[in-house]
Amino acid sequence: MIHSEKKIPIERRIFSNAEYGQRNARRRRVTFTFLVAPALVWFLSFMLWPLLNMFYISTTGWDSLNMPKKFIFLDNFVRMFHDPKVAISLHNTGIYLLAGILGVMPFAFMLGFFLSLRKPGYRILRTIFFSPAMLSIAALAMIFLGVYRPDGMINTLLNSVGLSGLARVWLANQATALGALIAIDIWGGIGFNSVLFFAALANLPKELYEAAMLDGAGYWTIMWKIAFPLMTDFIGLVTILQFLGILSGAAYQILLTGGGPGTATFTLGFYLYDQAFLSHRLGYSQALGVMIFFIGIVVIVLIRRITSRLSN
Amino acid sequence: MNKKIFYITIALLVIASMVLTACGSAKPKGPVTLTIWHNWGPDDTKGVPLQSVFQDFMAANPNIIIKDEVYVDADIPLKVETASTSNQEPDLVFTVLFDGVLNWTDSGVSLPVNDLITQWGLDGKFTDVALANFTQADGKIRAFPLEGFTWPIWYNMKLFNQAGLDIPTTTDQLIADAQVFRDKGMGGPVIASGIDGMGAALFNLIVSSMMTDAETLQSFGNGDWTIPAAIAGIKLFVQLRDAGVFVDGVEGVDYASGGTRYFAGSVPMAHFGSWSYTDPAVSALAPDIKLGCFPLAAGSPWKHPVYYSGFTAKGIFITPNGGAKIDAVKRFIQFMYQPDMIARFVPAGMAPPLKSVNIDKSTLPPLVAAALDLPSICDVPMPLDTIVPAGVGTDLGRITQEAFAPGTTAEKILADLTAAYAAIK
Repeated sequence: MIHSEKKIPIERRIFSNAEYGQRNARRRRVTFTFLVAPALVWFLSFMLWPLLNMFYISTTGWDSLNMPKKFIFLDNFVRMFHDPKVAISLHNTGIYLLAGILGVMPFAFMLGFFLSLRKPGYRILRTIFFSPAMLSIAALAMIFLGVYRPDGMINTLLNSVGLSGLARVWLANQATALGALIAIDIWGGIGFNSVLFFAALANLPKELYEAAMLDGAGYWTIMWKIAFPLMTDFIGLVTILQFLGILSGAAYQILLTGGGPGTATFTLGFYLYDQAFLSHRLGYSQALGVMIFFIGIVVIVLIRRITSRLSN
Repeated sequence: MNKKIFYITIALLVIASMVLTACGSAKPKGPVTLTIWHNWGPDDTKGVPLQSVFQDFMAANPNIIIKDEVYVDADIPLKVETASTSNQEPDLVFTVLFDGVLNWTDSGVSLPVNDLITQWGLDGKFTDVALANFTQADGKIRAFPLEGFTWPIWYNMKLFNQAGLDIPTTTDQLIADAQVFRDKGMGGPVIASGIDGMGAALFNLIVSSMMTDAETLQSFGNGDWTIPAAIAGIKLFVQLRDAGVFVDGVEGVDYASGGTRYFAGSVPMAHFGSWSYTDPAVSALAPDIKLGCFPLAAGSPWKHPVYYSGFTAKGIFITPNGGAKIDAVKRFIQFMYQPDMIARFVPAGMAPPLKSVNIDKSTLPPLVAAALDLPSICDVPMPLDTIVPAGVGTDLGRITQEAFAPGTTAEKILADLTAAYAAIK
């Protein structure tokens, strides 16, 4: 067999291989297309189409699901520039993001690092930290309603230690309502993200830590000088998830404050909900959705750039 | 040729069999199901009479089955609108006439009932106020009025007597009373749920007490907050708030906690509607309660203290799906709007929308009976449910909550109200 193959002229063999290769490539393309097609159809139908629809609806005046749409081109976007609630929502969202990311990520990372050291009792702590993520948002809202009520846990505690001057109507006070909501996110976010960091840090080779300890490094130095640089990509990913959750989220406003008092807890995500479901301005709500979409893209790119620079 | 005849014969046989099958498969008429969405569940005192009406109706009409589903009142409009986009809406909806529901007739979510009232023999049976509440500016009647309400001020006379006070008839007296209650360590006398819609109703009542109905329409209806009467109304509210008339932290009180505090007997005044008259929580306190109205300030155009009353608490809306079963709907509506059927709801606190409902005051729960006297001692400003444009209601609630918070100025409230109405223009 080998002998007979050797007898075939080299040009003929090359031509045959090329032809075979072409046929093979074509077959692979067909197979690839056949296998990818369902996912592609799913993506186009359920991801791209609704996204394009959001852009289309943002150019319409549409006052109820049951009312006809009217094409108004960019009017909704022009209106956004003159809408004081958009400015308030942007401002509040900015505060929410800063507090929700800076108040969560460093502490979550430190807790995750601590868990990854697998000190005695770390399994119990891991479960405790993760428990807020296992509660439904509505259950969490009920818990914090009890905490923040005028006669709730915080005020009762303040009154009992003689600090009744500090007692507030936390969710109905212009000065404290947004902070009260952010505190819930920070409370839940630190624990949840620390478990994510723990899972990633657990995969780092322990020899690195041991070598550093032999050189006299303490846990603090190991955490920030060794673990942190090795985790920057993952930190970027978790930050993006945290960012997206805050940017488009509105659950606690819906359940606890209704955006109030006044507009004190309006964020972009809540304003979108308000316009779509409470004020029946569907076109305008989708214009807000387009704005949130672009803000999301810009900030995600920014976070990726920062984390890739840090990792370099 | 034979082949051709064979094929033609086969084709004719197939067509004939299809025609015969179509004729023969006409289903025998089975029972019709009427789907009804409402919020009068087993916990609501109107839930029991409603179920009794359903049972009696089905017994009288064995070919009609009522399938009712209970939802939270605030959720019903959106559920219906969403279901309506895919023609999956219920046949009948019992809901409050407010905000987005105001658009239902024009957007085709529900059918106007003008002709049906005439065709079904209900002409002249509804009270004028009930029909007026459900009639649009263009004359279309949105739904059959069902639940009338009264929304007075509840005075706890035990606490008033303890403080040596009588029911105030002017806001100056109320402010003076507030000081007495505070001096006695009882706190501000009026509890309202500043954080939700119930507080908004008290805010609206106080502001409306300084306006004629025409001015109420101009401000709450059309968003003109520059008229002197509207400004005076807002300033009156701020004056009362700053004088300590409301309980401390009223801006954070919700309806549930407000009710708990009032029914515990520790607060002298509250603003609750007729749906609370027969609440089991009220029974212990009922002998101490006197229903009254909100006192007037100098310059008010009203002669007597004011309270809200109307028929927008509940209407029966017919959807396009209901329109497709119009015979069954007709039977149900005619059955429901018999005076003795409507009378079943009166002991639960419902003001009847029909003229000819016999009410025996002596058999009614004490607060329901007491509410019947309100028209003789109080005035009723125009209720806002049907005049506040769709899309403003939510903003109005948030502005009210802020208004209850100390430090919010009348100018800020007026500016926010102006902006809320401007946003929908």
